[in-house]
Amino acid sequence: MIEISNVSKSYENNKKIIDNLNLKINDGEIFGFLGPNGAGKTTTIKMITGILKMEEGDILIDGISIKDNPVEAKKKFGFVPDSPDIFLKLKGIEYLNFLSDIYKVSINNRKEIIENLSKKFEIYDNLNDKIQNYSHGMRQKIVIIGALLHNPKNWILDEPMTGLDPKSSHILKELMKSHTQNGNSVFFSTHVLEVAEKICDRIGIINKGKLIFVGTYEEIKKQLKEDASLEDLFLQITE
Amino acid sequence: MKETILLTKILFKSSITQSNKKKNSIGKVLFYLFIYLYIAGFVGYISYEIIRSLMLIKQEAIFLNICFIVVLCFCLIQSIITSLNVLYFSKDIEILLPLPITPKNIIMAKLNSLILSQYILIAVILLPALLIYSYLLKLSILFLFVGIIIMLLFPIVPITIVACLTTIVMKFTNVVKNKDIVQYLTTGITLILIIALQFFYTGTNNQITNQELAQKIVENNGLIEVYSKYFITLTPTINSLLNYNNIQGILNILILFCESIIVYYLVTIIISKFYIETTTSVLSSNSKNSKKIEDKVFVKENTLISYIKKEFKILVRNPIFFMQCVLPSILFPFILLLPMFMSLKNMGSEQIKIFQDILSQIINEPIGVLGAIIFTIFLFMFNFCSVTCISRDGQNSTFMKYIPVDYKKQLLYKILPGVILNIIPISYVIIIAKLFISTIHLKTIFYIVSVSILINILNNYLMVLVDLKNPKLNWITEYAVVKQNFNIFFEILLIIIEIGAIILLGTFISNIDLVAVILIVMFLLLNILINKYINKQNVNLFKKIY
Repeated sequence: MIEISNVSKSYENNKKIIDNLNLKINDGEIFGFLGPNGAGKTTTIKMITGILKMEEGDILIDGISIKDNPVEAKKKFGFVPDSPDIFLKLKGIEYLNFLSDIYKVSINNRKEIIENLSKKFEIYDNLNDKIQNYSHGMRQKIVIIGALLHNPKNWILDEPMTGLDPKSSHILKELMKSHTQNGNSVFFSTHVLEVAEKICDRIGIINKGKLIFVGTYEEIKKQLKEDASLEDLFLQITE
Repeated sequence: MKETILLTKILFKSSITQSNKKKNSIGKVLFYLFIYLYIAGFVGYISYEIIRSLMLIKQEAIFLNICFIVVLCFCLIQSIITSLNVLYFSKDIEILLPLPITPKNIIMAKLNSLILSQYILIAVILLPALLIYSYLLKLSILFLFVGIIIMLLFPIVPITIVACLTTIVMKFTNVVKNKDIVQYLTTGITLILIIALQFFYTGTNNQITNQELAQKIVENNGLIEVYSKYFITLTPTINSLLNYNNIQGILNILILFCESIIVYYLVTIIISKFYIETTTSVLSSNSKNSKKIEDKVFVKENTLISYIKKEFKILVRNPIFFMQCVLPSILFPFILLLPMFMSLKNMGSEQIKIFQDILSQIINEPIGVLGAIIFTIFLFMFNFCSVTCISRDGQNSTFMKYIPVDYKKQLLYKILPGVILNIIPISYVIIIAKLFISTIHLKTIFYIVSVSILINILNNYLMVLVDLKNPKLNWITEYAVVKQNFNIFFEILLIIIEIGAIILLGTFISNIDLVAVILIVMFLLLNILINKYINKQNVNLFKKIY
């Protein structure tokens, strides 16, 4: 569970990029975080994961404050950043072993998870290559595997579908669904509204740093009194 | 033509500004000005000495031969490294190839950007050299005007020829299609050249008079004239400067101009024939068949060991980082000590004995101990591991912020490669002292090692703080992390301050035990203070990383 309470963040010129954000991602739900470019999605994710410091408010991951107890809070989530170009000089397997050491994953668990996920994403045979030789999609896959190695309860994914082929994208969506079915949570940002429409239990729409809608797809339709696609509703609400 | 000019502008601008988002601060401008003036001053001094020596035997014109041979060698060496990177391994290729621009235009723009960058570098050598030459020979301003025209024309042929040769090598060999291998190879060649030059220099660097220097230069001039025959632009270059005030000079400028233009166009045509094929084969050469995954690849390690291993892997596998951060620590002590050994070789056994006796007498005294410490920490100056440890990660540095490892621990992991590399110069000094001076006390070794290690840890901590304060995260090429990083200036400054403090202490206190204890306590306290500061600041230290 991720709880964001009264969180604000400003630029150096005091212009608010996140303005009093309140949001709760419950256990057992996939939450899609939507918004136009520059709306504050990545900034919010960076504050949840501890990359950016918030000026006001607090964020709790499974009840642990990222502000007061960052190391413990960080153990509770797996994070996929927006750029998969990470440690390109390491081999895929070295990167995964390194992350397993950081998250203290046992030999048996890491072996099982790496084998299982890399075979699913069809990069098992490339694990001994340097990440710099991977395509964008393969890099995205290795970062996703890395984020899931320690079997975190909360998944925080920034644009996770970018660069993935349709099959891998489908696999990731299935993984997200089965993860939440086990009582865990998934929080992800996306520009692909079709994905959000199909798999999210709830969606949040942020624009100019303010959360302008939180609810289910049905609720947004009800609120706007229109039976349209999420894309149309999104365009209407963010205009 | 318009496309070429536009592309040249963009490529040149991105090659000199790299990722600097911020405007150049006054500090940076002053720093670069200082570096430029320092090198220009050095070149000017050498030029002054050579020209004055040659004036004694009325052979001052030979200076122009020497000057342009040096510039030619410089252009050739520099072009080997840069032409491969710019033409075949730069990140912009994938953006440029799909654009509706002909390969010829891309090559012309890339060659132009190489030539423009080279102007900045050779100006450091040529401008002071020609200024001193015209001053000492009381030549008119017209000489400098001709000199500037020559400076603009001269690099064209060497750069384009090297670019052409590298293209042919790229086309017909498979070895150099891997960027990393190429960078290791070019680094190796450059290092061999530096060491060879050092050998040559130390082998001939006896105290000689101006007359002898002039004699040596005249002897070598015969060799230079042989080179001139093979390098077509050298003769018109020299002739246009020697005849700067008559029609012969203008004719030679025209010859140089025509030669440069013809070679430039010929090379452009040759490279454009192969360019697309070669670049696409370089781009596709990255994918290899990987080894099969076996059970032994799943290894569990302690976080500390795993983190440091990751740091070293990135340092060693990245040729630029390896060359800039690791290799100097290993090689510079050797290169610096080489002249000493070469001088010893030239000495007789009696002289060596006297030298050893002097060292034996002072090594256990404050002057000896402090001298060894100063020499050791001077060698730390070539280790840029910690001052770049955050910047090296670039955009990946945010990784530090979302993993569940305490920042204080991560800082320790980050400085350890730098600390470990500095053990090499400490070992060099101790091994050489032990081998060469048999009377060195164990206590002296203990003092040298303890103080050096404490300074080593302190400096690495301070440098990681400097990098955290002003990290360079948005770089395009790895070169920017060290070569265009103002932070390394702080490392040099810190070491100068420490050396000053040690010298000051040595002048006031003559008891070796007291000096050593003061130094140990002082640096121990500074280490404790820096640790307390890190503990207190913790999250704030990382606020520039996001």
